[in-house]
Amino acid sequence: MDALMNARFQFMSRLSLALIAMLTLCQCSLLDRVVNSSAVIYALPPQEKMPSLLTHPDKLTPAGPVITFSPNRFLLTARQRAQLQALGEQWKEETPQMLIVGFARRGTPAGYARALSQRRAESVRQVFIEQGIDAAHLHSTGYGHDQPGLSSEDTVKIYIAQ
Amino acid sequence: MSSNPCRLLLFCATALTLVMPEHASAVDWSSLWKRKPAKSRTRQDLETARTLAVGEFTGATGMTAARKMSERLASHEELRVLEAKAARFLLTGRSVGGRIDAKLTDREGNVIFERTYAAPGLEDNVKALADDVLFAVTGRAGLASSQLAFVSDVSGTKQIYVCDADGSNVEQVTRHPGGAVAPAISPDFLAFTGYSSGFPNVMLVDMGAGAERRIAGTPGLNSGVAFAPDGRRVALTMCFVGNPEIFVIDLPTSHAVCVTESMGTPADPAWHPDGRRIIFSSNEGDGPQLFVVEADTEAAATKWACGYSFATDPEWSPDGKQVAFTARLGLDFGVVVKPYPSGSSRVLQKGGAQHPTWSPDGRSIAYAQNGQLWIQDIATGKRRSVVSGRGEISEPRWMR
Repeated sequence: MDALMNARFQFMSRLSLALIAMLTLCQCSLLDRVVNSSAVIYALPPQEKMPSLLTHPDKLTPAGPVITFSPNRFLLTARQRAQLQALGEQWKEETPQMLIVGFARRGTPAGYARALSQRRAESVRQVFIEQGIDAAHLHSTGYGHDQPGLSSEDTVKIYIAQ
Repeated sequence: MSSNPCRLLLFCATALTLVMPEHASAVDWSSLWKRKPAKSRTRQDLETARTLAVGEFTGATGMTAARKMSERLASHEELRVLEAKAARFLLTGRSVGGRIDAKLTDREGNVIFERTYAAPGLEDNVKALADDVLFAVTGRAGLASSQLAFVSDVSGTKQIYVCDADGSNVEQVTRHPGGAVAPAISPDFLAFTGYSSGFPNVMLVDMGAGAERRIAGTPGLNSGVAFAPDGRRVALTMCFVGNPEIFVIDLPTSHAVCVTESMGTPADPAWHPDGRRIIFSSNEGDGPQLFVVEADTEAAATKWACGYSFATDPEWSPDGKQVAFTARLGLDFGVVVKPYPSGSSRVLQKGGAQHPTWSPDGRSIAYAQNGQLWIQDIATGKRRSVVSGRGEISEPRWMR
């Protein structure tokens, strides 16, 4: 009987070890994903009082460089990130209301272009949030290539609202 | 210690029930009964099965109604219009002032349906009746009253237009400052993304009443609306949470539920005819791929292996057995049809064809190519440009 008990104990302990290992692996991969994609996301502020490029372009002033993306990419390069961090420093004290607008190049399937351009704007917004800028001051939208008068390239433009 | 054998026995029993397949215990008795072979249908039976005669239509507009019905039905491949004595079905009725009271009977005099068509205008009533007759006789949805919605930039901004299933009667529906894109159309409503507020918001137009209301105006992007088969719910992309996600909105209550948890670009949702599953495209880092998610459960979305590294704009066929989507084929886009959940895919059209949408009868697919609206028969591969010379046409959607 003792031998049987022993075998069972060993089996159970191995099983639990395997389970723990599996769980750890799962958690690791989850954590990786979270860290890599900056998964702590912040809800967008209400846009009712925000001027838009279509209705009140005079109330928006371009701020900073135009961020360019490779086709189908929405993550920032290390260089772009550093550039945006430097830009964000000056707005830490007194954050203005900002509008971050994403675009996608002409020819990209239209529905995908809209979501892609919005996702690009979120990437830029995320850098400013990590810099310590209040998320409630950071508005974003994605126009895809619906507004060729504004841009039909793979870009994100940053504006300060007056 | 004495309880050990019992435990062992219990364990064995549990293991057995787990190992045994469910159906092994229950014998399917019904399969043991010999079924009577179905009466084989002769070729003649099949030929007469889909024959129809347009009989007498009384009333002031009765003659015109009968003539228009004959013309409309005669152009349909799956149905033959014959003399009253030879036909399997007989259509009779009465029409006054454009209104139609119609009755479809079979040769034995059994009434198939008896309905009134009271839309303002004889033409609309004839179309609706023709669709009902086609469905009753052939079992397939008719296209006479069906419409397509699409985007054109001919006016200077992108606006929504609708046309009949043959490309006739093109009509501009929206005049939004800033434009309107991504339409979806149901028999009663048109939904689209409008830019009149300066930001992309989803609007719903009651096609009968003409009233327009905003159904999604959350911060950021609201777009890519698709009507559920029940017509009550819509799926769309919203991103007020800080990242684009697919949401389902119940129209009567405006209650919204998020059905995805993405780090990418979920877009272009389309419903399975069962009204439970939604297929959409998302770029999770390595190009847009297709995913399927359940609308009513909290299960995570699963990737559907479509066989292409770049796939967008998926749409399920009306029977749910195939998916059409835009794929990148080399340097250009094309429209691909693939059986769902698996099977070999078929390139329907290369050369920049985009945004496929199924006809309600599942026989053809409409798409945009070189700024024109095309309709292609799936079985024969024959295609024709149905709307052209109206600026750049994109994002066609057949009525759902």
